[in-house]
Amino acid sequence: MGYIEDFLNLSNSYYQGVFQKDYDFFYLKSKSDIKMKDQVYRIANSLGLKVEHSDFYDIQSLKSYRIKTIRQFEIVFLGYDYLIYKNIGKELINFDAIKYAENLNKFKTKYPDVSHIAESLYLRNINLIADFFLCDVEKLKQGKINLFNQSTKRLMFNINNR
Amino acid sequence: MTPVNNKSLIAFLFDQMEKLDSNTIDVEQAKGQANLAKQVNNAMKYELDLANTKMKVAEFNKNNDLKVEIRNAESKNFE
Repeated sequence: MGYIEDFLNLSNSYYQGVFQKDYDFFYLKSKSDIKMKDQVYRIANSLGLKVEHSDFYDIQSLKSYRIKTIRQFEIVFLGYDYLIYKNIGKELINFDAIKYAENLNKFKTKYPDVSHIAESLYLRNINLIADFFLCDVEKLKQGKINLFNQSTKRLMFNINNR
Repeated sequence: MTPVNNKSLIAFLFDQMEKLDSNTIDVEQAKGQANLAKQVNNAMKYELDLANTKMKVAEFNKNNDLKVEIRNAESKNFE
């Protein structure tokens, strides 16, 4: 049993999930309206994570909720949908958009039942990553960005927005 | 001296982001570190440019009677 199966088994009336091993991103999609804080704790509990501290912050226009746990992860709310990714930043050091797209296609072939979820989450994640690196989504998709330059930009952005 | 490559520099930048986030370093320190990383990146770019130029010179010298040489400034001792 891999993470994907484990995660799909977590599906309940609140959410169904997809996990992609490649970059350790958790993807969760809610099926109904959510009460943010309650839901964050609920998800953390279902993942066996002890919540130590929590705070709100924005990744540009996207509302997100960060909770610090033993394994830090982050939940981003987009309307009624949300997804979780842990350790935004460090996980992206090895980010390779071309490989990510290839992995998505492999995933869709292997799990056709949830391919539409994976596809929409891929698009959202690419958008989030482009937001993180402050770059154009299309350029990112084509692997035409210089990660060093974009990481410097991001660090400067963080510095200027303190 | 720690050897660096592009990936380790990116990791360094992410490290600074985390430290800034957790207030381990302040804004001025983070700025300083970012500038240092930029300088290291410039040095790496210089290495690549040098290799590129050497290739072009070698190609040029193969096809021309006039031989061009690049002065090896780095390995030359101070006079």
